[in-house]
Amino acid sequence: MRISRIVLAAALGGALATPALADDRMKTVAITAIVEHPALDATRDGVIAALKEAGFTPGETLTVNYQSAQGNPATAAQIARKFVGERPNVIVPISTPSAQAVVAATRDVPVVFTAVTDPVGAQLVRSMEQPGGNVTGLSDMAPVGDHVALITEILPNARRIGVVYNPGEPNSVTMVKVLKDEATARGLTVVEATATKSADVQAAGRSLVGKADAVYVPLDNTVVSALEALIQVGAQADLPIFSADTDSVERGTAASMGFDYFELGKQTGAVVARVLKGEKPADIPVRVASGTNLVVNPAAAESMGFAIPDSVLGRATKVVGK
Amino acid sequence: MSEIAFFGAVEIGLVYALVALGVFLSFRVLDFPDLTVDGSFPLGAAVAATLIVAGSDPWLASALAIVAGACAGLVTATLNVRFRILHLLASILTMIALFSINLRVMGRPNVAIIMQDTMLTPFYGLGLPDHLLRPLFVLVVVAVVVALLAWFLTSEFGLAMRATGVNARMARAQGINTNLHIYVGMALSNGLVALAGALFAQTNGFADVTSGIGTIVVGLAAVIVGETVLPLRALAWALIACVIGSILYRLAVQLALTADVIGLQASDLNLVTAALVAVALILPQLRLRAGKAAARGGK
Amino acid sequence: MIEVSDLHVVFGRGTALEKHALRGVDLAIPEGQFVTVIGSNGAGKSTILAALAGDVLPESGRVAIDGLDVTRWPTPRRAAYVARVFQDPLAGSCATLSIEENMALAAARGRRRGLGRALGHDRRDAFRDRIAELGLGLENRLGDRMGLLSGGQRQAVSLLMATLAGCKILLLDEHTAALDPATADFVLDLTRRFVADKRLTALMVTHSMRQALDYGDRTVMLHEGRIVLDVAGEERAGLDVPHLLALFARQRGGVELSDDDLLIG
Repeated sequence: MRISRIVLAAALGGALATPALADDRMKTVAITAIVEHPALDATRDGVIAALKEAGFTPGETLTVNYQSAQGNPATAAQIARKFVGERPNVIVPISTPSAQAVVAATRDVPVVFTAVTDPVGAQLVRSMEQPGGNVTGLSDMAPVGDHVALITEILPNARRIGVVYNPGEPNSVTMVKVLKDEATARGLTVVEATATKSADVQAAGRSLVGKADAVYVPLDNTVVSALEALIQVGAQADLPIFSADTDSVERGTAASMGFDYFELGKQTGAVVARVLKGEKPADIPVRVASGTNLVVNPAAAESMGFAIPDSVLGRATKVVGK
Repeated sequence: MSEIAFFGAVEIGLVYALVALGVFLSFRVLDFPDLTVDGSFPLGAAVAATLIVAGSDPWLASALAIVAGACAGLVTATLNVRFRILHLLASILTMIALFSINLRVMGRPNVAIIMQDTMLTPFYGLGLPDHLLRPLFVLVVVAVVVALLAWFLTSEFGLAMRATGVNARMARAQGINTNLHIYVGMALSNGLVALAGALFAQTNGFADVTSGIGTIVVGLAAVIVGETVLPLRALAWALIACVIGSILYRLAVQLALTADVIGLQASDLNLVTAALVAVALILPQLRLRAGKAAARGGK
Repeated sequence: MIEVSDLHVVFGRGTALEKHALRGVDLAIPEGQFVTVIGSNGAGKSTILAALAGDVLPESGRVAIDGLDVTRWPTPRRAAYVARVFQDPLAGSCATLSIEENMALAAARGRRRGLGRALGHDRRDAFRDRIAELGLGLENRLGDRMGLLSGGQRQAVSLLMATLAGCKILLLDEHTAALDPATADFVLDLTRRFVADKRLTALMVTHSMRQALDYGDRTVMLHEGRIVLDVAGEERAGLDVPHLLALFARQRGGVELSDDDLLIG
């Protein structure tokens, strides 16, 4: 009995002590991630780096609080309550569960989430364009729009983009939907070919020969695991193959764009800075992080019967084979 | 610790009190070390969230979450009773299988219900701030569960279940079908844990397939902390002790989260939590020793 | 009445430790009879009790209670007819439950257990009256944990518990063997009293020839899984421990018994 009283008293004592009032120039940003992980840590470091660039220097004009839930969603919920109770200027949750916990815990503290693949599906915002409320942020979904733009830049005459994916992978389904939107906006059509297991990938690729001017491989575990079969089809039928992930370029797709998580963090930090300077999260559309790493594979392109223009080669951050 | 943080910890403590009560049923009443809960907690969250997204009434969704959890408990009980697999191993098998099943139920690793109507939605308009309303709502649920459990465990059937856990041989000699009581007890236990999962999803806006990790540890810690701070034998008090233990555990986590002021890092959280719980467990012993010393000194 | 016919029990069939514990036991006990069972270690005394209680299912043979064939019934189902007191004082009750809770468990033996309160005021009062019969002052300790009682107290309460609900047969498995002599005498007297008062049919296994002859109205001796001696009435009344030993030796075809085989008490 005594112990419960001691702990309760300590907790209540803490509850009564209001956080020290910060002066007006001092801003507070509370960052939380679901777990310590190289990608998520890099995102956090990127946020802080971008804030510094924007003139918010930690220790001088900015206080940064950071908490990791150590992989436990219940702890993530507690961290969310802690941060909401401290009323910082912005809360930056990294990863989907952390973002959901924070968004569920407050309707007024500004939230800029990041490293969330599907912010609408995660119900953080009602729509990407008009987030509304107190929430905005960045998605770490592969920059499909950038990929479509890259394909049309390399192949200006391409009108039909084929896509090979497994409809059983929710992530792929989402990406194909985005692909259709991006393609339609540019006046392109999308031709689908599905493969529910690795063994079907080659046949799915063949079915696109003559129907598509280029093939796009989303972040699909089934297709990526059988990527070589698809690349073989591309080489035999002079069908250009592009991929959503940059790692696949090394395995023989023609080109891709991506970002690293430090870069994602910096793009997030820029949004946080805008909110700190007085913009409302409701007015800042949710963006997909833009690709900054361009990886090309000229040899693969050549085997598929086309060349990568010098303008693209010149921008590439990595050229496979060099 | 701010008011919001304090009541947030109380709220999550109350949600996990249902886990503690479930663990009390399996570990303490039935003497059945059951790790199924690591799977039945996210199962409850998954079933409730998926049904709510599909348009089901949240109360019905929560009821079905309980049923799903009870089924998980029955699987573990069947593996143990019918197929004689060691209880610990039987429960681990169910727990592992549930990870896949939870993914199947949700169709993806995470289902959001932040924007859906939940059991709490009708109460949000009553004027109470969210951070007070939520713990109050969960408190009512927990109070009802404690009352029902206290009634159940002091009934003839419940008493027979307790005898099953204490002395199965004696129980059988008294005409108690111990297997039946293991089935019922495990179903109840995991049903409660699944209800906790369903409430967690509805108070925090999401079901996540990873949310079960460590549930058993938290539940056991709550039971033991409760027993230590409230060492009364009466059954109702033992149940209330589980609830108090769970809240104290969450307050310890919340305190640990504020430990950065004394130079600790975010990554020290689990260590600090463990240390606070250890202190809660050790203090009564010290008090006991001090009391004995005082008594000796008096003579 | 209890009827056991041609009962065979084998433990660990097909293993290196295979043991033929009962080799064709026939035993009929009329209602109200108090039978004592003696025999050396491994003679099959406890096995016959276990077979009656349902803890051990026989290879062949038949167990009938009141004309009802219960041979294949599991223990809980037989509990409506069978009450037991174990040798180990810890085995017959729940140490972490209170005395009254243990009594409530026993009072419901053989009955469907529902969601009604296990312990109401009426039942507590009835338990208080019953436990007062023991003369141990436990009537004021109904809420105490069973584990707080001494071995003798626990056996006395176990015996009382066995009589709270009706039974066709009371099985006593060396229920005083773990007690000191004075306590054992107390529990044995209690046993005699309860069996007489409730007109119970009882089977008491004992290590002591003295007890076997002093208590009950019939004595059965087991050896290597068979009944080798079965005496009652006049014949039994005239028996003394040395007679019993001699009788046993004769039954065994002149084989002398050593003191190690039978405890003489």
